[in-house]
Amino acid sequence: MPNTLDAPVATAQMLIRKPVAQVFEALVNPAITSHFWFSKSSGPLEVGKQVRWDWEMYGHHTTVDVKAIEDNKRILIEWNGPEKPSFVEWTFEPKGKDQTFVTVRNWGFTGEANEVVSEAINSTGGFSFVLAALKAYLEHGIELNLVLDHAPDSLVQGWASRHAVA
Amino acid sequence: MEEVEVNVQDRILRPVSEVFAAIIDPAKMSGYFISRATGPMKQGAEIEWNFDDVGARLSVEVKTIEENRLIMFDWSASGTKARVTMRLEPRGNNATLVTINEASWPMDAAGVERALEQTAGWTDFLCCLKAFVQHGINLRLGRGKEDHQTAGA
Repeated sequence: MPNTLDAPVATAQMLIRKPVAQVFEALVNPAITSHFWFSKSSGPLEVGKQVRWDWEMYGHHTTVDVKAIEDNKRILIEWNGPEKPSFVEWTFEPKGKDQTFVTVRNWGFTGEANEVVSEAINSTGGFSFVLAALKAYLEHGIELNLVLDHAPDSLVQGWASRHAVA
Repeated sequence: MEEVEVNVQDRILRPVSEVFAAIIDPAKMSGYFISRATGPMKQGAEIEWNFDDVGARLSVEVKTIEENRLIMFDWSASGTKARVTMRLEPRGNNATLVTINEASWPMDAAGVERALEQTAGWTDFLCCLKAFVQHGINLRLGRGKEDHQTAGA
């Protein structure tokens, strides 16, 4: 995937000090993922399935088509279709028995050059938040609420009082 | 020519004074980002940040410091000189909205590459800062090459 002005690729990487099976599970099992990323999912990630992810705090959702899953190695999805479909791929590389190097790539943005660059930059930031949140959750058992705290002015009205954060 | 820049933000559930101190005081910053610095961030100071985990050393020219509000410096982490502006905005008594801007690079393939890398870097910085001041943990630990080699030991 060449990183050109016309086709920029968003990339985020993180070393997580947990075994690869545990890190992989955290992304296919929404009961775990919802502790650090989206707030609700219609089901687990399985090849050929379509699921919906909700970020209820922002009143936002997306549709996810699961294209490929290799246990403990790779997840490929297409999301944000049909208006703005793009591909997201996670790869999981074991580093010894107890650590995992995770790489996320998001590509296939469409629109004017400025628009695709802006989407790639936003996506890079977004997935960097996700990987840091994943690391904090798996290594330390902490919910950093990075997503919730990203845009506090855009939260659904009443969310903050329902879920006291201060 | 058009330019490209980086903007990241998140809210930290601590007062502005605490967040500000965690950035300008190297004894605190070494708890989540750098390994060490040659001095604190003071207006007009030229300091050096060391990152032992990745074997890097970067010069930082501190341009402006406004207590609990603004930290502005120049550095060349992206490979060319760029200006970093961090703004702290109180949200109630116990929370701070932190915004970080780094600017700018030409809107070409190399400039976009730099902006993408700096976006990942600053997002990670903000996450590590939040984890440090809210929870007292070092989220940067375990990133270095040596850590990879000794994995599982």
